[in-house]
Amino acid sequence: MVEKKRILIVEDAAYMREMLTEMFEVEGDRYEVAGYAVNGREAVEKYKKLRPDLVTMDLVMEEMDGIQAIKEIKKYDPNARILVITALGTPEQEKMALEAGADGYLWKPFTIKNLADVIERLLRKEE
Amino acid sequence: MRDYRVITEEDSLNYKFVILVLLVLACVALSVYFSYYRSEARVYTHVFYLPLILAGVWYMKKAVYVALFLGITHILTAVLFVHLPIELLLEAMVRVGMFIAVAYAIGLVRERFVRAQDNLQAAEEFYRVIFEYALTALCVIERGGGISLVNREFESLSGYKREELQGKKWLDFVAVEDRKKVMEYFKERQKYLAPACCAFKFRSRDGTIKYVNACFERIPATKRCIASLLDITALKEKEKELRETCEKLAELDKMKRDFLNVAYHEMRSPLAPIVGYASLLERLISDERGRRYIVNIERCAKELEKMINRMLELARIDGNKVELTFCEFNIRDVVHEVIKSFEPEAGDKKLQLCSDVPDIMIQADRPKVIAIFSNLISNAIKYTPEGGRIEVMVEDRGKDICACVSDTGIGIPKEHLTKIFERFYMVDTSLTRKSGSLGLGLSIVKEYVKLHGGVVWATSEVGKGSKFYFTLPKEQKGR
Repeated sequence: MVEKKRILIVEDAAYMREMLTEMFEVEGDRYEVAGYAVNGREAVEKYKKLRPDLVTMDLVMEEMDGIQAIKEIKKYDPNARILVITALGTPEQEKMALEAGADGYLWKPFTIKNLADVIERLLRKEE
Repeated sequence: MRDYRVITEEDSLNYKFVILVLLVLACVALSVYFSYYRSEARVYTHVFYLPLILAGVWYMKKAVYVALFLGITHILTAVLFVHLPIELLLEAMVRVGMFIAVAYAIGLVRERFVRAQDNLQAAEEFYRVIFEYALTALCVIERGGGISLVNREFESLSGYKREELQGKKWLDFVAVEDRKKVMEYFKERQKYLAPACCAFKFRSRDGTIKYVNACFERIPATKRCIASLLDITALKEKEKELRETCEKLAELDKMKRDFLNVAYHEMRSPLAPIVGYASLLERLISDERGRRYIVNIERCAKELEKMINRMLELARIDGNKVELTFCEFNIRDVVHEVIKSFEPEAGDKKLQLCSDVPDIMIQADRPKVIAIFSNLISNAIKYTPEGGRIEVMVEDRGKDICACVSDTGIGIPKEHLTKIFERFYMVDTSLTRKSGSLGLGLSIVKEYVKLHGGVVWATSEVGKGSKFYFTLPKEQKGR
């Protein structure tokens, strides 16, 4: 059996955290949710503690925004895999996130299929 | 009361006439005296030239009449009192001829001279009137910078009467902070290195500052210079007002853009769980009816997302954030791709969707060209009743291509045709309008075409259909 990928969900909206959890549960044989963070600072702390295989990162958050969090996590662990999930959908913002070190960019709204495809592609790239 | 007459005429003096008459009478008397008492008709005739010269100088060609009068008197007295032989009589007649010739010549010369003088005076007067009554303030500046001649308008601009301007330097009227600038300008201007006009602040008698536009020109063959000053204070104030309004509007526009940008993103956020949960539900529910509900939720969410995306795109265009990425592709492939994606929608309405596109390679932003065609075809489908026909045609025009999307729809009234591409413009805002359209699609089309350097237009006949045209250059030069 393949080892389950552990995922850290960074998202300030509770309903989005819940939904992402549901989605990963549906794909339960491949993913498991390792933990949650509601802002960038907490995300960095949780990453250091949990060392997940993948981080889903919102961009607009209180205290520390997603871009800053991506930079700090990548500084701590250059091999970290980060998928940005955001409602900010302009090419400039996507470019900014990718330059900060994000590995993928998913634009809200999305279906479970969109999510699974992006993660699949992202993790495959890793190998 | 002020005398507004510009040209005054002097009355001719009568003493000249009196002197002349006296002289003529004296000559006649002499004539009679010499011929009667001394029987001579010759010795005194030189005296006759005196009244002739005076008459010529004073009355010009009219001197001929005096000459005639004196000549006739001369011959009459000679005939009456001297009984001259015929040869001497002829000689006298020749003398009379001389009188007339001399009078005529003097009159002629004098007339030329007087006319030239009159012309000069009239010309001077003509230009003086132009100078005096011009609607711009004019002043003559002497070599040392003193003001020597001004017109009415300059008096009212400066607040000084012309008598009071004696000894004033023109630089006294330039506001202190502008003096250096104006002097430098003046130096440049004398070498003809500066344009004829220069704007500066003018200080009038009571200290008020007026903005003037001044023009300096050297008067040929002198060291003087003429300055014409136009009061542009009112214009300047208007300009300031406009500038302020403009700045305020730009600020408001930026606020609006920023607000909309945030608003559109905030609107997208709640869409995420709607779409996400719908996709989760779809896996969970196998019931036929339940799945139909989900399909409807997804379709509406998609529609909402499309509208938000369009508004977002227009906001980005307004903020000059949209840039084109060019690649070379076949326009035919693009049209076929777009048509294929609309086939289900057209099929639902039993619309005939066809195209006539030759193979043409163009350099353009492919996704944007797809968006242009999609918007136009989507509109055509929306406004064409069942059983209609939509056709996409592309024509190779050499340097560019011209594309046309035509339909057999409801058409657009003529008065709306030029406005439909404007932002937020809707042909119909009533409750009976066709719902599901914000009228943003066409403005996106227009902006994309414009970014490519093309033009877009439409023709239509109400009830028969519309034709939307746009051009795209085949090559993007200098990009």
